[in-house]
Amino acid sequence: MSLAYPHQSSSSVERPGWRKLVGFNIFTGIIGAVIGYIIGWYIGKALTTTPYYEYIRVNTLEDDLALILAYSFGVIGFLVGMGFANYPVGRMLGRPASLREKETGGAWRYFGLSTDHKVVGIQYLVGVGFFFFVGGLNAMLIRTELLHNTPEFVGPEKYLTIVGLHSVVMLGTLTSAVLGPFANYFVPIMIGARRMAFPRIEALTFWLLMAAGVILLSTIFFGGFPTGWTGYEPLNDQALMGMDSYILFFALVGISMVLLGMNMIVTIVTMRAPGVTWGRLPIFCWATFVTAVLMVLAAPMLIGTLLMAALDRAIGTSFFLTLGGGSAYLFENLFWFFGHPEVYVLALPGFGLILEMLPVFARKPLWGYRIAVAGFLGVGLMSFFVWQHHLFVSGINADLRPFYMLSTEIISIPTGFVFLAFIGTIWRSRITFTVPMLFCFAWAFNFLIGGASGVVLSDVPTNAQLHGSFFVIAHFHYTIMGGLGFAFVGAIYYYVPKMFGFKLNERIGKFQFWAMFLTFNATFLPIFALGLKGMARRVTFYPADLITLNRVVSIAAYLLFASMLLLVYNVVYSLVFERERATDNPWHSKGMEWQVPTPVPVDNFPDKIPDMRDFDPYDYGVPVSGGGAAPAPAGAGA
Amino acid sequence: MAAEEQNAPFTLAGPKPQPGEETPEVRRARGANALSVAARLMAGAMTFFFLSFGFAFVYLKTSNIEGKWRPANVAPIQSWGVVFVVCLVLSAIAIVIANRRQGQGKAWLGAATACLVLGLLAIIAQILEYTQQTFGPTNYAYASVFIGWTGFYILVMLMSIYWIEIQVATEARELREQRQPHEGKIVYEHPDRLLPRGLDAAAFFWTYLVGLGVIMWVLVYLVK
Repeated sequence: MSLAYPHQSSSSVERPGWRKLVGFNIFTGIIGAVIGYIIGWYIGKALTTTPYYEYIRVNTLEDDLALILAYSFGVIGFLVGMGFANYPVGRMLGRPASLREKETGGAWRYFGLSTDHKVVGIQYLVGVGFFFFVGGLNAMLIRTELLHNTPEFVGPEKYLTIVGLHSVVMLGTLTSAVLGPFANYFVPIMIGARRMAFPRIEALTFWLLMAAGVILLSTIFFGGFPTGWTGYEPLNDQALMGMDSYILFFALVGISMVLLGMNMIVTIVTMRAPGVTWGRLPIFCWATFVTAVLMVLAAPMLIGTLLMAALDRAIGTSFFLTLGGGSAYLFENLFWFFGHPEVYVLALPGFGLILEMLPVFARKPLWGYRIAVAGFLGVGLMSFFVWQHHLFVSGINADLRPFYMLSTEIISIPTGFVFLAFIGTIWRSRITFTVPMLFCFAWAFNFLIGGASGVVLSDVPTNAQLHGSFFVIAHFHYTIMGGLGFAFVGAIYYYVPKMFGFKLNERIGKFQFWAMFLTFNATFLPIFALGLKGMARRVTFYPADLITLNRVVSIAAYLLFASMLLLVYNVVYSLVFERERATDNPWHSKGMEWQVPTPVPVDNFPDKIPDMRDFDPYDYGVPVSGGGAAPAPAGAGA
Repeated sequence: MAAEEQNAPFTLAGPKPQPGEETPEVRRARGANALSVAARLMAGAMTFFFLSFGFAFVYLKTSNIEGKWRPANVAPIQSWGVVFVVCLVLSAIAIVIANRRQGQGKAWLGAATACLVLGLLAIIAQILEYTQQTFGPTNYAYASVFIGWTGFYILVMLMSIYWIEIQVATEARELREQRQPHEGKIVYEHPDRLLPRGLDAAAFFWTYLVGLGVIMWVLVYLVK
């Protein structure tokens, strides 16, 4: 029986004419979103005019139900317009599965549902980059307001919304900053697979994130939200309709996280090529795997919590309202059960990227592979047992404090494993100070400060003093931006040659690195001092003796933002003015992702998936002249 | 590809594939494995999702803030609750039977269809209860948990029912196509028959969901 393999013949399935005409792309998606929004709004308004609704939700001038339904129907309309409903409806009618959407063709495939993991990876990179820019702009507004110790720029209310937007954009969209672009693009290649396990779900996670981002930005039309990224009750329930944008945004991000995590785990568990055993899985895949587990288990708690908050706001339930027998403290517990694993969802992929890049530029095998994996697993497991340290001053039973203080301090031990692997790898190595390697060192410096200040904060007496101060801001910016942010930018320099086929200018890159590193530290080190001096978060009034320090921080922050724009400049310069075409393996890496040709073929390994039983992605002990240990997959041309 | 090859029955028999060779058999086995892992992960995700409602139930009940946990006049309609849970349990039994009958022709279809019908009946029972109960979502904490938990539970049920419906619809269409073979149609050896049907995974998820539903029923209907 000469059955054709699906990866070779599925393109022969012709699309019906009407489908070609309608297209199902971003424009039909936007049309669907608008139609859905209008329908949802009118349904919501119709429901709110019923006598029953007046009975359950008296004394309200807000159209929360209408807005929540409008957003929900808008998202559904958007997805239908993008073509996400075609496949499920077809399957419901018993039609055969089709595996591919927009995998070939020109730039147009980047504006629609594509089942090619590499297209989705690039979509993520651009999408996350855009929201990173938006979050950065909000940070500039915050620093501009804090140039003065009284509100003179945007005012206290708008200031809260800007703080909220900055934090929610950064923490919401950057949960996928590494898994979205880099894991989607490279994990299948690293493990010798042709695609992700569920390619449509992969595409869905990206477009859900983009829809969520638009919903969040629309909050400015509905009065914003005053709660910051935590959305604490009872302020959540009391806020204007802009709060609904926050709720829908984070709920959609949560759904996107669950699906992204599930897809990653299934891909790594079931689609590894022969020889890619658990003990030989690339370290970045391990970090992705542990992060994905956290996403699958922690994010549903957030979704459930936000749905309860939405019900409280829209139909008058009493989950979190004391007047109706609910409890705001319940929200805070449920939120942080998600919230602390979320911190490691942000940090762990950065660990993976750093340890993946390090051996390449140290020209030495990764030291302490098992130690690093144990560190990832330890961090992942323990991240579920520390959440109450966020509530040390919020009414926690005093007897519980020592446990959560200790668990928080102990989580620094598996984190230390990662540093051990870092130091062991660079020990007596032949380091090449390329731009990605510089970012690796910067990560170590920054994350060490962030981690150490975290141990300080976990101490209950210290926490009681510093809670809600700028010290906390400095701590988590050192861990998230200093950790994830620097790993993310380093990975852009490292992986752009494979993803786009050109190298970023090294000279501009080094200048950008030093500018970013110095201005980052000039921004956030003084913030520790501000916190110790008692400067509180989320307020526009502060003591006059802190003005000078705040102005130093603001100027450094402007320069930090400018240093990020240098990265954009470098991309444009390297792409347009001085294009250096990248070879298949410009870094002479042993990783499988560098053994495939550039650009990577649609199926990664067109003829046959590689036999990786004799393959070692960190085999830098073998002289390169001997051909290394990296077998070229058949047809890969490497 | 010749027509007789297209209509040839699919079989897993054949030469053992070489390492790295992605034969239809390998692809099918890998696909089944992927669905199986995905079902278990979704079960884990659903556990944590409903854990948030379970935690709310336990926390608010034990706190009983200002004595507003559950006023005396707030009580679910037990008879509808019994109908709901009986339908759920029977549907789980039906899907287990369907799963065990795989490979015996179309013998599993009846049991899977029964699971679908029973699942839908459970949802209808829950909705009917909403229309008849004497309390609304604003009647304090218990009412909130009841409406929220059961409401989102039946939403997840609908998604799971969709998964089982795909199994039934695909089988029904395949049987119909086999009775009326004709040229020019997409045939099933590509690509659908290369993919697993997924009944194992769907059955696992449904029975797990029913387990969560029974726990929910015990808490919101039986615990006073």
